[in-house]
Amino acid sequence: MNLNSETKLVQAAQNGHLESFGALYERYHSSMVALAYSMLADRDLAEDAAQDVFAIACRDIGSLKSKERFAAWLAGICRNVSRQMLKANKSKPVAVGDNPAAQKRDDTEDRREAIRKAVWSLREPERELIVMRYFDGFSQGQISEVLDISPQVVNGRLVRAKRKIAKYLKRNGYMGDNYETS
Amino acid sequence: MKRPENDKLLDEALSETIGSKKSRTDFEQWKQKYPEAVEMLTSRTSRSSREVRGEIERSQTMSVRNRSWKYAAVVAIMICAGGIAVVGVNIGKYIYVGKDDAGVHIFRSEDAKSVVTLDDDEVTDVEQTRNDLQEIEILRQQDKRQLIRVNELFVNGKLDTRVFVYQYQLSDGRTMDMGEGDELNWLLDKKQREEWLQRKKDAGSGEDFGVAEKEFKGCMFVFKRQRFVLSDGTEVIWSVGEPKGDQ
Repeated sequence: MNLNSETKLVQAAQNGHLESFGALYERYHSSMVALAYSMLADRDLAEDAAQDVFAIACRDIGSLKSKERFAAWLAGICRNVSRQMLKANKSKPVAVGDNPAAQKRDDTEDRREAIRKAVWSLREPERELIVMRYFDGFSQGQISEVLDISPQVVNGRLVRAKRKIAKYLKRNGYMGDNYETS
Repeated sequence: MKRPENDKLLDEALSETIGSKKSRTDFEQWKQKYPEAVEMLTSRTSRSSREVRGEIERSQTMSVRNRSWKYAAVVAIMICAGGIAVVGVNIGKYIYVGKDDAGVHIFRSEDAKSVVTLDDDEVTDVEQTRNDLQEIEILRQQDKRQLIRVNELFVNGKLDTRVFVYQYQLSDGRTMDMGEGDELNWLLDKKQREEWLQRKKDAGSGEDFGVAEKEFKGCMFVFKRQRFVLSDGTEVIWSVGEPKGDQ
């Protein structure tokens, strides 16, 4: 990520240059969807949240002082928007999978359900990391930028989160897959 | 040594379970869905020149999400004189006067000591605007605000105007920036001022005149300065200061 060019894009957007804002949108849209998904556990809602995030950013970009922290600023908006959506959708606080519970499921779907539950049982900072890492395969550098934490912290937190997921799966009888990790 | 293999298994399982089919990134579609947000961003270019004009030609400028709200000089003069050093809180009621011939909205305080003018596109709801003005007046009296910028204009080495820009946080979470005139000497005449504003608008920026540091209200500000020379030889230095560390 070329921070210098990004700072220029932010500056240009602050001066009313829509194409520059469009470039920022293209760059961060999927990471905002992932971040919203980590909180909302619903892909469609996460897409809606990401669109709202950019509407707010478009409207308020003039208030951003530290241009080099655009991604972290965007992530802050995303968390607020997602929390508001969570309040409005209290019936769906955690991920339960895209298929209705009543639907007959095979072992694979059961296992996916268990993994989803394991992920959404994590604390928010760890869950954000896991979802960003595996939702769209973001690199540690990209995650570090959006979540405004160092790559070392990203790495350490990812390892711990995966260890917790492995333990959760083991506790819930998914020993056959041997997910236990370091 | 099965751990790397186990890590890989877990990676695959996580990717398979929460992996995306790539989210839809369509800026064109987004623009159509949020025309008002787009309009607010694209109108920033024309507003920025209005903002400068407002800060220099009038004593106070208030911007709401980068819109310029211009106060009449009378308020700034009172501020300079310490006339609004209020201990208690007065409910600063504002009255909507109406529009002038140019379509500009006019608000004034109940005691007629301050007047705010807003362009037509800056007022979508008169009552909301009136309430915002009243809330800001209370916050100002309580000094619940943050000095975020200092703008200075020098003419031939002498201070023409200095404007302190404060940021206010309203109860609904919005932030508003409001400028208050500190030094208002008005050394440029109307023709010179118009020439300077036009030149600034056309050129984007003047000649880089370096940076300077000054302290205001107990905080160190770093000023970026630009130099312009008008057709009659008048030297104008436009200087914008932001808190050191925010640079």
